[in-house]
Amino acid sequence: MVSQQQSPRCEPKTGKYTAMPDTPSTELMQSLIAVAESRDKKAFAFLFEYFAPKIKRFGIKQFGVEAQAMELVQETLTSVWRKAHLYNSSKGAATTWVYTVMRNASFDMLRKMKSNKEENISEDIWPLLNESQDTNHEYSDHLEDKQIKRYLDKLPIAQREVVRGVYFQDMSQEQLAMQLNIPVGTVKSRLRLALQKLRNEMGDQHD
Amino acid sequence: MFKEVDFMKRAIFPLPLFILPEGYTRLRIFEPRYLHMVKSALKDNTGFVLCTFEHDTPFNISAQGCLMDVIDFDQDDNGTLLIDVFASQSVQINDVYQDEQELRHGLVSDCNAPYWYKDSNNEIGKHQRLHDSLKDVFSGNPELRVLYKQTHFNRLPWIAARWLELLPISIEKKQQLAFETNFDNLLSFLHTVINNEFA
Repeated sequence: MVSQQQSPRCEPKTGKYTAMPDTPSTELMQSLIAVAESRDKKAFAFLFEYFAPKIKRFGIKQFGVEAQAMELVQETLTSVWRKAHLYNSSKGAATTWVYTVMRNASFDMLRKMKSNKEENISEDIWPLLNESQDTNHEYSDHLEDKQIKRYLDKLPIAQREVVRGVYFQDMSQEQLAMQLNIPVGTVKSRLRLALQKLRNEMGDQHD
Repeated sequence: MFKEVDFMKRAIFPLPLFILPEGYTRLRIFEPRYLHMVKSALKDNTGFVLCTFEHDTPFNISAQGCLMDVIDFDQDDNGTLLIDVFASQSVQINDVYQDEQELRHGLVSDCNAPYWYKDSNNEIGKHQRLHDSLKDVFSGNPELRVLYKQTHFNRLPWIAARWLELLPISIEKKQQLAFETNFDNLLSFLHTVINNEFA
């Protein structure tokens, strides 16, 4: 059922395709560094050629659908292109890093599919937990990490001063609970109730 | 003084973030394209546009964004640039393209979404509790106080906008509340969460 054959869409347009039985670790690492440092398109093409079929196979196994497997290839390799500067060669092989990016992209896709489904069928509007904690997202690097703020409250004051000045984007449920002086469970149920009400109101408007 | 032309060309920075007019936020800038963006925003005094990162739109750009002024900058411990930005106005984004360094640009024009922000009554009236609780949040969080050079606790829409930015709900829900529902619904939502009112 699962085809081992590569789709023609996956083939790089170099016209050549050489089999690579062994992992060309050094070349992969150098290419990734070249992409990070000088946005080297040839190096990226090499990475693409090597990883695209492998990611696609993983995607087919994961989603069972070729279209989504191709989306995973695209998501992963786009992230590799954009985030290459975050790769640290002293911490591990290029393959390890790329596969981590792939796994995160795949989780994101699954999560998205799941929350779409929940939106459609469930009584409960509850994707909010999943989405707001999308910390592997490329762009979250630009937001000073919300998580830090969350841990901050657990630190002794002296240490807290050191970490001060972090970004304040939105509150965690715990912070809101503390702020309103109510239990977290109450925050959760109020949020759920409020979202339910909103949905009813919006539904009424549209009917 | 003359008024800006209707369409302005601006660099656009899509982020998984929700911000409304007169909001402040702090960003960490390290990608070359965005460093470049900040540099020219400061040099030409143009600002840039911050919008919500969408998964299913061209260039991941949302239809509405905010024109941001860079009001302060700093470095973190690793020497990365931090900028404090202020949302001076809400804008509509059109004709987006990417330049050679993958920085997005678009033609932006002034827009009044969310419409309730400018058009609603400023009176706090029976919404005192929203005012008081937001004040508490500010006094409990020095980061917010440092970030907000200007506050408008005397204006109900400002209070509602800040609460919407802060609440722990998904960006999609925030957008829905801000742009697809009316001000009464938004206030009732906030009261349910903050006050537990079933009104």
